[in-house]
Amino acid sequence: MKDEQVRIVGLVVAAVLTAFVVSVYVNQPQIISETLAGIGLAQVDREAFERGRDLFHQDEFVAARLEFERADPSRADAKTQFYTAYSYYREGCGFFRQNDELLEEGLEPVERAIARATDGDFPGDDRDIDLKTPEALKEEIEARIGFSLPRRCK
Amino acid sequence: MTAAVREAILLPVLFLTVALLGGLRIAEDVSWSWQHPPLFTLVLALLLVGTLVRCRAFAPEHLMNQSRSTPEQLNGVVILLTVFVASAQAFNLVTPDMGLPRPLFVVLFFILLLNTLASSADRSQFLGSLLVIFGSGFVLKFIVLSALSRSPEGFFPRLFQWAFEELTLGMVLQPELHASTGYIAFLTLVLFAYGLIRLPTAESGGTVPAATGTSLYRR
Repeated sequence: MKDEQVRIVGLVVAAVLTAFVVSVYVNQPQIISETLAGIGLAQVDREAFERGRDLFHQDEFVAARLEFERADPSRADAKTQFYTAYSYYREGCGFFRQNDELLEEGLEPVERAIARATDGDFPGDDRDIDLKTPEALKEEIEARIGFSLPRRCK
Repeated sequence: MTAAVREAILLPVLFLTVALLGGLRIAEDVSWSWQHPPLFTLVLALLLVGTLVRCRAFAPEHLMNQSRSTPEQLNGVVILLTVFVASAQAFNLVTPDMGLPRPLFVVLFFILLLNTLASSADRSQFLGSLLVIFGSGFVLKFIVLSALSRSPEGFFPRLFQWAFEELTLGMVLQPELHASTGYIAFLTLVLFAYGLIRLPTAESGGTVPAATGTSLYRR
């Protein structure tokens, strides 16, 4: 290859690399955790998850979500995402009145939970919740949104 | 390796890799963050590039002059810009992330660079001085401060850390980083140093005499 061609190829390589570096700093990708999550090896801080679940049971939903976020920063663990979605559902749900915005915010994590769920993720060991699977939770959230008649929260 | 490969590919790729890895921080929970260069690192980088030129360790006039073709000149511009960005990220890398050590390190780096600039050091002395600056920054941040900030196990280490934290009003301890951060930082600094060594120098001249085959680059 002639020197002139090498120099032009170098300019293109530098431009592509620069674009890559800028995109990394702008988008802040979680390369390791996303890769691990992709192959089913997401790392979850179990202590933070249990703290979040305790707060969830005490109806401290905002604090619970902070702990769930800490437990699963890559948002790749099905169980953590399930509880995150459930916290939005519980907070937004009411017998007479409900907050549709909060319910809608629960859809995103519940879809992540469905996408990541594997057998054994939801053994149904939590007696405080009626909806034992992300599919059931999603169905309930979707049925709730825009529904105005009194209805019991699950 | 020809001069074209070095100018067009090797040096830009090296310095852009340093720019990429220089801001990488891996936390204990393996979550990644990419820290963009703070304002002070841009000032330090400008000073570093100026000192490189002053000490004849880098000769931008040989990369950008009228005798060169347009692609050659553009390669020169790319090298100049990537050296600057990589320098900023190298300083970002060895500066503590928070607390009292951060401003102290900035002032220390600034004084060391000014001192090198004023002493009119030659290329080898300057590169040696840079090794001391970045080496000491690396040791202090990734070995000393990291060890002090790590959560200790056992009663007495915890007691010592508690006492240290109370005595320093919590202004010294740093966020805990994953062990791999230090290794990546070390590799990044090695790449940066190698890139600086491979820069075209003023001493080697701007042309390549056919009789001697003298290169722009130090061998």
